[in-house]
Amino acid sequence: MQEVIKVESLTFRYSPEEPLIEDLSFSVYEGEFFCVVGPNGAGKSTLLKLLLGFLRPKAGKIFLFGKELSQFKEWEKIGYVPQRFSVERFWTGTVEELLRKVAKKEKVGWIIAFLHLENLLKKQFVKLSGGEQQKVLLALALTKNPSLLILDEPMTGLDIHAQEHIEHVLKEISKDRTVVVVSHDLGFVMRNASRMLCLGMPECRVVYPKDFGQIIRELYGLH
Amino acid sequence: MDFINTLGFVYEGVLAGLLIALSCSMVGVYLLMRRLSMLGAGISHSAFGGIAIAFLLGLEPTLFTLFYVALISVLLQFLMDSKRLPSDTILSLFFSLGTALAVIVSATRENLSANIYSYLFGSLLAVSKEELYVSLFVSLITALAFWLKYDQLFLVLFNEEIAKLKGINTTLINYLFVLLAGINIVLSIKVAGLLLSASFVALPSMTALLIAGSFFQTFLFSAILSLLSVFLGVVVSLILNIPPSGAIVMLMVLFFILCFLLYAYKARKRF
Repeated sequence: MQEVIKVESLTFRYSPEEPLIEDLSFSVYEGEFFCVVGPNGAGKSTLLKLLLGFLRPKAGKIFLFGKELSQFKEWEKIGYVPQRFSVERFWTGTVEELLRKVAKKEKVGWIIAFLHLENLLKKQFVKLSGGEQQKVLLALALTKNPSLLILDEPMTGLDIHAQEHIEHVLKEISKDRTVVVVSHDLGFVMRNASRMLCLGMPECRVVYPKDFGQIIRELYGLH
Repeated sequence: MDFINTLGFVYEGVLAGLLIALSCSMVGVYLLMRRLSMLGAGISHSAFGGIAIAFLLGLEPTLFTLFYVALISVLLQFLMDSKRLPSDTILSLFFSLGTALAVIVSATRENLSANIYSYLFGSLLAVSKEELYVSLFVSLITALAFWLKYDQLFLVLFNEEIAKLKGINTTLINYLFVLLAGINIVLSIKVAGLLLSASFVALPSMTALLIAGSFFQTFLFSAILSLLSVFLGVVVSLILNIPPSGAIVMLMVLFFILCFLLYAYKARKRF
């Protein structure tokens, strides 16, 4: 199987004294549903920012689709869904404006139908419910039909119905692409992940489904 | 008839006011969506320092201050990018620095203070032909920047990370529009005065935000409200014989109150 993401001895720190991520190595393979878990401040979102080149590592290497990050230019292969709270609340654009700005109308038709966005097109993004906003962010990430989809906390702040809906959509989407999700929702991780990366443990490690329960209990101090 | 004659007499100032108001209304929307509305006050007070230095060195104040503020704007964006301090704190630094510079310089020579302090209130009626040409040039540059970079700006204001992944140079966009904001604010000082110039940037955009149903409408309404305020403000000031800058800003506030009431009424009706 092709390595979609390969991380080698990655180290990152915000302050000189305390490394947030130290000597981390892992790979994500084609077709995986790969989850990143860990307590607050463990470096989950930071890891995503490193993978996407928003932050520069202090040491180590990142490869995307076989190319080192600094050489990687095919960003249309990657769809990114940021935390929906990161969108500016005074931004006044509509869903239609948003989708039109990133892709031609004929290319987003299937996404609008797939995510049932027809009734939301004329509405302003900031006035949508949490679940609707998450669907629009997903639509935005899917406009170039990426083979790798990266999501940062897609379930945070959603009610149970919206969570179920987004989970269902993600399952559908993951059938023909690689998905990497940072999530606090352990139920979601246990139900969907093919493997998970645990940050915030003395030794960060990649875990297979049979060990999910034990590792999550250890990680979050649950009994 | 007298009124029309007077309007003809001050047409350079009115035209400059309309041009500056139009471009300020556009940069105002950008600043509001980046939560940098106070940049108007920070830059105008920085410009106060620039004006004082220009008088001290015997240079043409408007042109010197344009370059001075351009430099300050770039520095401001650089400090905001470093994320060491919140942007409003950085703005207060430049606000204080500009005012302190002006106070010190104006105290060095007696004849300087009257010239420097005349910029506090500005005068639309005192705009020269040269200043009208500068306003026209800056407005055209601003409009061109918005026209060419509209799609990129749209995404940068939505979410910088998504914009970066779409290949947009977000750093360039932010520097460009903060620079344009700075330059436009300097020009608005001549028309509205230092104390009221920030209103040209902040008020029409926040009013537009209340009533706009889309991103495009926000820019459109902000521009319309600005132009209306300047034109009606000049008319009112000539009829009532009051300073135009005060009349223009009062109208901007009036439009805000009306739109806010409309917004509150609509919101109440929905529930």
